[in-house]
Amino acid sequence: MDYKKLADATMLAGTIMLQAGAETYRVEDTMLRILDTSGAETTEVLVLSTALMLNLDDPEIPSISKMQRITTRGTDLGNICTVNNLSRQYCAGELTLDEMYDALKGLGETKRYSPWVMYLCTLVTVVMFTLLLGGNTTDALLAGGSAVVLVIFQMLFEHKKVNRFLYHMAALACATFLISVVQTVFRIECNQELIVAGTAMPLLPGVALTNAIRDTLQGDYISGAARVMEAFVRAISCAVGIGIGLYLGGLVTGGVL
Amino acid sequence: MSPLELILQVVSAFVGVVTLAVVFQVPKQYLWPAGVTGAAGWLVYLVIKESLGNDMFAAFFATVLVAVLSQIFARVLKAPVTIYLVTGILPLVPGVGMYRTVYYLLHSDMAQTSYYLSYTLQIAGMIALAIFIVDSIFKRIYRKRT
Repeated sequence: MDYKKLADATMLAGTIMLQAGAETYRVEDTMLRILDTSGAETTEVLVLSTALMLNLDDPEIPSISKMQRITTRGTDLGNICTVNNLSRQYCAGELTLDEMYDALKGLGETKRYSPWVMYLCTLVTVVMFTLLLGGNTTDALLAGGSAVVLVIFQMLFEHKKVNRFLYHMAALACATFLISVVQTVFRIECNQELIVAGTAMPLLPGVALTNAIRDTLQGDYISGAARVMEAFVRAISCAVGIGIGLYLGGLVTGGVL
Repeated sequence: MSPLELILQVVSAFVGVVTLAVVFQVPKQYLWPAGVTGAAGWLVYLVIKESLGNDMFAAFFATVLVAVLSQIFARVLKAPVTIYLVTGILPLVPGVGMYRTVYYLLHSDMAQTSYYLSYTLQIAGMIALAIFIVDSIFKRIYRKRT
């Protein structure tokens, strides 16, 4: 058995899952299952939400230790699902180590949906959530407009090395500001709060919040605490963005504030 | 709320959750269960909110349903719970509460600010509690079987 390759594949699987926003226990469980197929005496993994480590040791081989730092985290539920299935197939003996490793390698390049589908879906999400929050047709239309602002920001910054908190903040500030202005200039009767809350929906830390709860429940307190922090910071960045937008809007329209 | 409005709301919840699932890169074959989970949660939320007038209860029981459906879908369709859970609870996340907190903070209305802040945190807490309970129950059942 190629222990080195096994360790590499395990690390790759863990990295992809953690970057895609998987829960800590799921990452640890998957990595351990893959490592255990080696039958080595000692297999140990440690996953924190910012780094992962593994150790593989057996009397017959020199001990292998690997560490990987995770700096980017996003939400890619599809990748979690795919890695999960690959590791299941590998552990059941349906895939060889090389096949799994190549499949994992290729995962980064495959695009599930084209960017335009994603942008369109962001737009529809915002409109639908505005309706869910109790908005009427006017609100939904304006929400569509503010979603366009959000999408433009996504196009500009999504894959650039721009701090995510910062660009979320800027996007919401811009959208909130524009709604304030449009509403005053064209004298439209609308529920600004519903539109802004709808626009913020795709940016709210739903994934971080859910994972924080589940990690803490599992006893992964460090990851749990880190995720609570992440959820908190993301929520604050949304809130600050809305605040800036409202403030600037108030200054320009000279009205409410 | 009339039945027609209710149906429209549930349909919007379905569409909204499915499109959000696309944004989160959920594979095509799991889009409909995610949508069903979200729509069912929203239906329960609306019905309880209309009949009892209590947001906390509504958020709690809606999340319980979302979590249970997620666990079931995960076992039946053999895909991680996260896929359905994360997308399904999103309609319940208190976005308006957060907006109002900031809005009243900017108006220096501290009474309203703290009211909406605690409202937002309570709803988030209710969602957390519901996920926590369902997770624990399912883990117990699952452990006994295996």
